[in-house]
Amino acid sequence: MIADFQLLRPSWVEGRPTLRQITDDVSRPLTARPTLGWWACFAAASLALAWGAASATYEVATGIGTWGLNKTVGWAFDITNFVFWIGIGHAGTLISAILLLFRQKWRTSISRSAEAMTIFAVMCAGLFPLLHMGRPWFGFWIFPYPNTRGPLWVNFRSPLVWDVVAISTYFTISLVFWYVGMIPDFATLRDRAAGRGDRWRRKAFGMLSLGWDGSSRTWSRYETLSLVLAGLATPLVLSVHSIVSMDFATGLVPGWHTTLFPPYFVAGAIYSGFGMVLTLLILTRKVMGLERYITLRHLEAMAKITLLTGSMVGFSYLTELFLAWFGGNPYERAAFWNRATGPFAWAYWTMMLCNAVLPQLLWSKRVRTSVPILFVLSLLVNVGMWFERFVIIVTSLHHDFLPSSWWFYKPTIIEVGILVGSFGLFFTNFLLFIRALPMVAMWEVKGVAAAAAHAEEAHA
Amino acid sequence: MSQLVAVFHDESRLLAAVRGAREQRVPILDVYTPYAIHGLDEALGLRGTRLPWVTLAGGFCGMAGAIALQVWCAVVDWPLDVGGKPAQSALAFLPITFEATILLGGLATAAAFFWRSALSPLAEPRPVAAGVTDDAMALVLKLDGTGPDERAALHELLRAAGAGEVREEDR
Repeated sequence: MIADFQLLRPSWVEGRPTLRQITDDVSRPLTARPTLGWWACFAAASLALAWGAASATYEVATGIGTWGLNKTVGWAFDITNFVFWIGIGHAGTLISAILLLFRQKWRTSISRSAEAMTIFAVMCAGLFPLLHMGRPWFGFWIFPYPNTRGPLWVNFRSPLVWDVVAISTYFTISLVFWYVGMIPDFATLRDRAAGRGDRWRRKAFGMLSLGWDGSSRTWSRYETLSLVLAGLATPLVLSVHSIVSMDFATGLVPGWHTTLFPPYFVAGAIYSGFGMVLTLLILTRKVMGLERYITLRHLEAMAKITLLTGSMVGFSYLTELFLAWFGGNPYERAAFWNRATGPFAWAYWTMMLCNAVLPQLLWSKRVRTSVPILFVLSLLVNVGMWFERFVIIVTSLHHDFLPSSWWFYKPTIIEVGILVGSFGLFFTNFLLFIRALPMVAMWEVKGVAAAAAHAEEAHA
Repeated sequence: MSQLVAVFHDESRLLAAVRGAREQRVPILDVYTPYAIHGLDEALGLRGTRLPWVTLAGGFCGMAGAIALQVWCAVVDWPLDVGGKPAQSALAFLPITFEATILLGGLATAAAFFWRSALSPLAEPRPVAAGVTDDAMALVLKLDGTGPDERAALHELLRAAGAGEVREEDR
């Protein structure tokens, strides 16, 4: 019965490669010379990173006055970028943990790179609160530790402290999950590196693989560990963006003070994350020649999740608007009227177009299976989600309760530089990752490919 | 200790050999595979792992530790009046308690896994056969105390199951 059921679906790996072919296909890019395309991307990413590093250095050396913040808009670009990057990370955990619990086989070829994306995105996100501190070397003050100031403890009732704990936990668990998932592949690479010139590669992968030998007892425990980590990461990822949303929702500022925020932020996070996974994988499957493993069906499945979460985001926008009108709170109503018609209306309508309208194109199978259209849409998803955070933060702050303090916000070149730099950091890391580590989980793909082959044999 | 190593390149043949060996009551030392084979645990009759208990214990420590830390800091050591809220605002302590539960549960399980499976950066891998991390699967049987006839029968059994290579070795 199971075999028949599986046969109804086409395989998630094209062309039925043998186990050795899978090893070869995934390991080849790690030893081959980088292509010209890779060097071009790497040069652009490092340049962006250098610009960001210069901007951040100038900001830390001079002070937060180099940013466009003022007494009314005290949070703007930095928190926008922070929430944006944290959101990007969520798709990685969804693919690696939630789809594992739901036993979705298609996650196997994309989970590794999506998890890497999570880790790099959280690293980028962490930069912004640190830089906003002005004196980042005192960053450790946000943790509760015995100190000579009393000891004066952090305020455990503040969502900002919850955020610190949530994001450090998220980063740690994601890193452990990512590393544990790579151990069997490290062993594969260790055993492949048998040539004379491979001594260092063999040593490095030997250390990283922790002496893995493929014993069935270890595999049995390993699968339990994966399930446990997935089971823990699933509520964790939902909690992280819920807590991020509480940074806003527990404030009284019109446009922020709403119970809709946690689910709305989580849906938006997954939506933006899938946009980024699509952007990255459409490029890398081409550049690294992995079209056989990251197939059009994978892209289509991701497009479907983008459609689902995009619709949830669009529905949340409409709910917000309806409640602003129906709730009868004049401040709330004014805040939303200001968003749609005020000085930042262009940002609001960009957000509406990219997040509520454009994903609806994905109902069409023609759109979902066209790589160029998907690529453009995935870029627009990220533009839209960046503007969503900008709209929520800046439009609510610049028109607060007191008209005399209304002010405008304009980012400086330093803030733009740090944003560009965070993209530089993200892409530099990702490009190094696809050169240095196996970007497809070989052992997981082998399991899926073998199961598909046996299903066919049993049927024949 | 002498052992018999049979190398396979197909999971269904390996599973058949494992079942055959178990039927003949030959002790199986271990099976080495490049990926987790569905149904191998049952075929080998492996006991379920107790790792989830470690998760429970670690998670409980995280939870208790987070509650203790927050209550001690915010209520006992230095009750700080923030917006007139009560010092013991238990609901506001929930998010950090939740995160600490997850963090310690996850880290404890991973640590227990490394410890129980003897995985460490200094561990020297001793592959029983070439390619067990690539495309080969090795079944290792215990030979001590078997006579020559029994050994021949075992070779026969493994060949019949589809082993590509069968060899005896002393460790």
